[in-house]
Amino acid sequence: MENPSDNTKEALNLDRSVGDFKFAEDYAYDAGVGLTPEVIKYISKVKEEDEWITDFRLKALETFEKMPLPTHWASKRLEELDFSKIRYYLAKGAKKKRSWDEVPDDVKRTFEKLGVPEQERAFLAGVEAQFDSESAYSNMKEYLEKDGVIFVDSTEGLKKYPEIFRKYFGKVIPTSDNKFSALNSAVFSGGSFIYVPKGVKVQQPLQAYFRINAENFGQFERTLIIADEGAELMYMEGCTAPRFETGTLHSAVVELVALKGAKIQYVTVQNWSDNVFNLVTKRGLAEEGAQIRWVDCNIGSGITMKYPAVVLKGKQAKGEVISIALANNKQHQDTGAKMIHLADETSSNVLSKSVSIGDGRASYRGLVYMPENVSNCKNNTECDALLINSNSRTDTYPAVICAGHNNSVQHEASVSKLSEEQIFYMRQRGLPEADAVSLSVNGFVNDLVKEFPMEYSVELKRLIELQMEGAVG
Amino acid sequence: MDCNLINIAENAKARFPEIPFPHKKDEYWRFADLNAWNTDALFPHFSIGVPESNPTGKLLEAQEGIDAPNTVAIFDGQGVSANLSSGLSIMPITQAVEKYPNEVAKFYESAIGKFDTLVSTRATGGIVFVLDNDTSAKLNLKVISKLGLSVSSILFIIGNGAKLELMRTFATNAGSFSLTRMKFILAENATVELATFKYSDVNAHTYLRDDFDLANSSTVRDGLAELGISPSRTERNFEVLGNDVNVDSRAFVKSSGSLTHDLRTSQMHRVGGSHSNLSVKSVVGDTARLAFMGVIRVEEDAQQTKAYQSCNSLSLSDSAKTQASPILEIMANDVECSHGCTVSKPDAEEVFYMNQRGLSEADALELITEGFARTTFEHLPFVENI
Repeated sequence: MENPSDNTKEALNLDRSVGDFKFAEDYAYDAGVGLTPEVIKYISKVKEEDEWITDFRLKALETFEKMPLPTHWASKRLEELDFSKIRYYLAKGAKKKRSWDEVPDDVKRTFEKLGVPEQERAFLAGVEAQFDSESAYSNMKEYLEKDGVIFVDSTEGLKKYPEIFRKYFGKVIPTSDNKFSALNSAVFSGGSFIYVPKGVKVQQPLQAYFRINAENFGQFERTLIIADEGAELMYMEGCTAPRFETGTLHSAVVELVALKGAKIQYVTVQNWSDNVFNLVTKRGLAEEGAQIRWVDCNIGSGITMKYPAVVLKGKQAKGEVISIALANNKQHQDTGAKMIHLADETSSNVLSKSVSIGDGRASYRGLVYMPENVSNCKNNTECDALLINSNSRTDTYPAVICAGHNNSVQHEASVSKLSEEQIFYMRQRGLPEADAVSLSVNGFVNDLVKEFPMEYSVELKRLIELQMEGAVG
Repeated sequence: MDCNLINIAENAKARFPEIPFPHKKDEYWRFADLNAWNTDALFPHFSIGVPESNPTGKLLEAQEGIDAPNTVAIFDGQGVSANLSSGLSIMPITQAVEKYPNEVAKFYESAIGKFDTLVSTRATGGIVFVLDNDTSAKLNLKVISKLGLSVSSILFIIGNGAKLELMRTFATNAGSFSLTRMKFILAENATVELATFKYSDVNAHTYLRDDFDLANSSTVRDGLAELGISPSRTERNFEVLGNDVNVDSRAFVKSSGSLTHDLRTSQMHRVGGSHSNLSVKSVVGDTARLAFMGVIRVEEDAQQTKAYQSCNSLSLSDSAKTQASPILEIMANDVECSHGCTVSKPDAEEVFYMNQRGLSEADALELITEGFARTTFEHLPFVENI
């Protein structure tokens, strides 16, 4: 029998052009190329921001310039980033549209190309859809307003509701957390600010679609979600980006605050073009009895560095990270999870599955931290990696730091290849090799795909199938 | 290859001051207690010639019986030998370099860190053991450190089909900084069974680096017990250079007081079809810490590798801290690799069971610890009385 891994190499060489398209751009505001205090002031001026925000941005710029790239542990590829060649702000300047009909045609065309399903476009009435750095479309459904839920973009949030958002803004992820959170703090625009009042359980998932649409233009959205005591919400984001000749930087900061007994679920399905540097800082703060769950799927991008974290600050808080990563040729998915246990009886769970195709590389980098003053905490971490081709690569870099009374940590990781027997079985029954491989990969991630909300798990399966589509012949 | 030991030592002396002491950004020293390895902590060793020491208990026992058969004692890098098994010979490195220039050169070339480079500064003082093809030998090796700075480098060259049963005991006396590098070069079908016990007194430091070069069908069965009461750093590298290699390496680490024992391991699979299994068991009490970092790396060509690694740590107190980072770097797809890591306190049910049968809490914990230690040596039949 011929060795399937030799064949699949060719077979799985995906057609990345599926997501490649762009329309002529026409921007009202352009901060130009490069990063200087003038650029920051320009962004602040265009956005008509308060003085404290401008100061916050300028201080962040200083921090950014002082901090070194984390190449002593991370990929040297970060050195390819030329911060002086990136466009830090572009905006259409169009006013917010209240209904779908009023959204400009070219924007709608983009959404259409993104494959936003018809029924989801109906949902878009309640969606914060971010197009480039400004929210192109924003409409709040009545029920959200009725319950007092605030769902706005970051600029509006800081302007209209400073008393709510300023308290937590930059507190979960301080500016100086890492070089890229400092960069985001300096130039952020777009992203969602959500506040769910006490006891309100938002039934419908809040969604945001955004994408990058200009060469050399980084997307620096900033999201802050606050769930007040006993509140519940699910937030979903999906991204795709067209291909460009030079690298594009996406560097977001996402902060979640779950107050006593609140539940936040943050779902991401991501499919960047493979010249995108996707360097994201995501962290949630869980108070007593609160739950934070990151459900994350990373497909595409040149290099993704993303380690969703939960700081378990209150007693009996729960944190969970469910993550799927698919690394194709020339891609490096450097993802993971951090669980910081700072209170008694907190528990955390990390489930990570990665698939490496061609010379793709998937890395898991994790941290579980339990200091000596906490007791009865539990963590479970499982990482499974699937390697499709003989030149695929996977790494696991977990760190466990555990002290304290009656705490327990368990970590497990395993590496496997496609089962030749499975493939053989399916081929015997008439399935072409590519379909068999696709089915096998889908089977491998299936138990985690189930953790995604229904709409997304369908989309996700479609994305994985899309990755395998070029496989025929 | 030309190998000049004087040049090696001179180069190392020139390089040593340029290499920084372990620092925060040095990933290879992640989790380490850097305060125990900085200039201030180590300076006393460099400035005192012979510190006063008065070893007792196990530490003293380890330094006795040096004239027993099959025993070699190394005092601060200088070997004193008794009768050796036939087939096993011992020679100074200055003599061995004539016959094994490549091996000796490679041994010193691989020094890149601060402390293994310090060992290279005494390159002319090394010792080489050679075990002839198809012979088997037993050796009891005692590495005794008394000087402020006690440096030894020892190379083992194990011939085709040869088998070495080696018991190593490290005794580092108070005030001494013992730095040891050992390398085992195993030819095809060679076997090394290695049991290591490390003891140290207060105010001491121990640095040990073990390297294993493993040719086709060679076997290593290994057990190490870290029982010292001063900071230790142990680096162990298994280089799998052939197929059908079998490595079973186990370590037991006991930390108490405010001590950090630091263990770094690597299982480098350069060639496929081999098997390595590494396990670390630790018992951490008081405010002590364990720092463990282990890497399994499987190169692109090393298909059909099986490599496993596990780290199990028992915390005996609330302030005891376990820091572990088991790393996998896999570049071949047809492999079986996994790692597991657990940290927990002793099983309440087990302790209860023993309490019920009249054992005190302390005795029960002692027994559990012993069980941990026992499994570290159960694959080495020649080790008795743990």
